[in-house]
Amino acid sequence: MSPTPTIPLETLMAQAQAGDELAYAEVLRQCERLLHALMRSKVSDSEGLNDLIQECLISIHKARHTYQANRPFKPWMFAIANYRLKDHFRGAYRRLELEKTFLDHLTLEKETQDVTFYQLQREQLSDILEKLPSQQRQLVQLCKIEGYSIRETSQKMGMSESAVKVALHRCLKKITEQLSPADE
Amino acid sequence: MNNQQLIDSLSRQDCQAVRSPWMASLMGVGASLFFFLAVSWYYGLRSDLADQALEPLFITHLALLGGSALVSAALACYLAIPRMDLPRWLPSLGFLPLTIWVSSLLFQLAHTLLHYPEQIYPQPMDRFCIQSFMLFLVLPGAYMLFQVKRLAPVLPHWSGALSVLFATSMGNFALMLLESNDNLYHQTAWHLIPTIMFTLGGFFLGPKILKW
Repeated sequence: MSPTPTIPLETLMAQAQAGDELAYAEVLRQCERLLHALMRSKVSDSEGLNDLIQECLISIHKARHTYQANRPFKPWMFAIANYRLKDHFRGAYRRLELEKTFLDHLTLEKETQDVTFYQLQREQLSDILEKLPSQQRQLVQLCKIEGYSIRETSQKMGMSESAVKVALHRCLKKITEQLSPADE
Repeated sequence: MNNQQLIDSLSRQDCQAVRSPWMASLMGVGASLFFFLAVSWYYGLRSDLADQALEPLFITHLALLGGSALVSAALACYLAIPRMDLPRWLPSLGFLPLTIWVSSLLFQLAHTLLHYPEQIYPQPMDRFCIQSFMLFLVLPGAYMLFQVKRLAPVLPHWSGALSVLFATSMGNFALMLLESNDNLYHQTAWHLIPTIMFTLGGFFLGPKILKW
């Protein structure tokens, strides 16, 4: 029997627990949709949102033996999603704290070093970027200066994600090679 | 891996049998009772048990500790089933028998201190009590935590505290039947305080131990 979205999630999950792969895939698809709706307003970063949805799907999968067919499905699923969401925020705040400490340390370190060195390196980098072909320059600009993700860059430039990764890798290698003689 | 690929790979995995929280708690209680029988066979029951069995206070305390063990085991596993519609007061229900036992003990202590202060005198640390507590924590307690972890605890603080409370209640229950020292100072210092300390430890360590 092929499951359709009109079948309630409780029935689909009961079928999934009885070993119906198609029903289980449909349950997970519907969960993904519900999770997306729940988390879209809470997590702004699109990659982070996708990671979190995947984490939730894995957690739902791990906890699937705790679902009882006589209970409503959504409160069970949202309880797991909330648990993962709290975990995610806890981790994010912890990372933020670490980053803050790291940045404070970095600022202190930078203050004590010779600032002219950084100035020279920046000028040199600008020169190298100027000399790059326009597509490569745009790639570095988007990914490394403006902070766009690989996916967003690929969408902006009309390239595949893997092409962006390869081009960026080559480009960075070229920049490093040109920068290193000056360092020595 | 995108979401669709993940869903495909997850849906291809074998399904697992549904686990009931009641069955998990029964397994924990059963293992703990078996352990208690083994310990009582090794150490032997207290010599004055027949006389104590006629004391209403002794029977009440025994019932409270047994009730605390049963309620905390059931709730630890029940709270390990993800649900959004749980009443907020439900986890605290697990601490009700323990609270009555603690209040009763403290009331007795206060009464004795006021009227018969000479009966309260410090006693040295009893290794047997601490050993028994640790034994009940390490074996039945760890088994209960394992049972809870096999479910999906979304309230790990409470599940952790209740699992440890189950072990300490069973430890106290066993000590009441094995140890003939009913001195109130001893009961407070070496039974009540470790129970509260270990339960608090379970509350704070729950999220780390029960991470899934």
